[in-house]
Amino acid sequence: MSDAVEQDGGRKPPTAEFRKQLQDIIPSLRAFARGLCGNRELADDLAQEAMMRAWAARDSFEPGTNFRAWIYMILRNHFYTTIRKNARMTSWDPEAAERILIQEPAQQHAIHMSDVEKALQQLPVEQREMLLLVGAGGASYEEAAEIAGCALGTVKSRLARGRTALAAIINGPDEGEFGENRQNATGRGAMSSAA
Amino acid sequence: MRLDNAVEPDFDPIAAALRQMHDGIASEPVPDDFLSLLDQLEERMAEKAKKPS
Repeated sequence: MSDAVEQDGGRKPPTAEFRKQLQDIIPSLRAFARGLCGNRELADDLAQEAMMRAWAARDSFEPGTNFRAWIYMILRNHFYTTIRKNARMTSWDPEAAERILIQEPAQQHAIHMSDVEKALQQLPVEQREMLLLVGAGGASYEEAAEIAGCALGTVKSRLARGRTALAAIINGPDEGEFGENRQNATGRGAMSSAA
Repeated sequence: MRLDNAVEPDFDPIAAALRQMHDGIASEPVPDDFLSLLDQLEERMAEKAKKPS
């Protein structure tokens, strides 16, 4: 068990509600972590560490505020600390991405999940996390800004650049946004309207 | 898994794939060690609360 637990001074018993919130967030926390680092085992380690840190810091959580944003922020901060220490998690390689970007466009108008997962890991982490938060997880721009600690405009620009880069990696630079009919995303996140 | 983008005019395959990716992971059974962790945290807190300060 990590140091995060040792910081727990037992000042205040957690409410059953706090534990329930923590338990309920596990599935999406795991999904966010796996999207960030691209590895199941590392992602689960990240998610568990975030849970321990959240538990240790539970007194700082204000009931009624956005629990998901709070714990995602904890996980994100831990992720950034970890990638500074652990080269295994720094999957972003600009040269590799450049090589992919100059490849011939794929001659098909369909994508595979595995292509998206791989392409996602080629993006700068700041863009990747926005696609994960808004595009995948359905967070609002405001929530994403709170989690990432940045301005709303930054969320929108990272999202737009990330989406364009993701499409270019998957389809090749000429295909980009899947043609002119792909400008209006539907469903959660409204990603392509974020430019 | 394959996502065709010719289903409806404004269907966005990337947005759909991102959602599928998230939902796929989120729908996996939660590994036992996550729930064990919560139990351990709770037990540890209870032990600390019993100790005289």
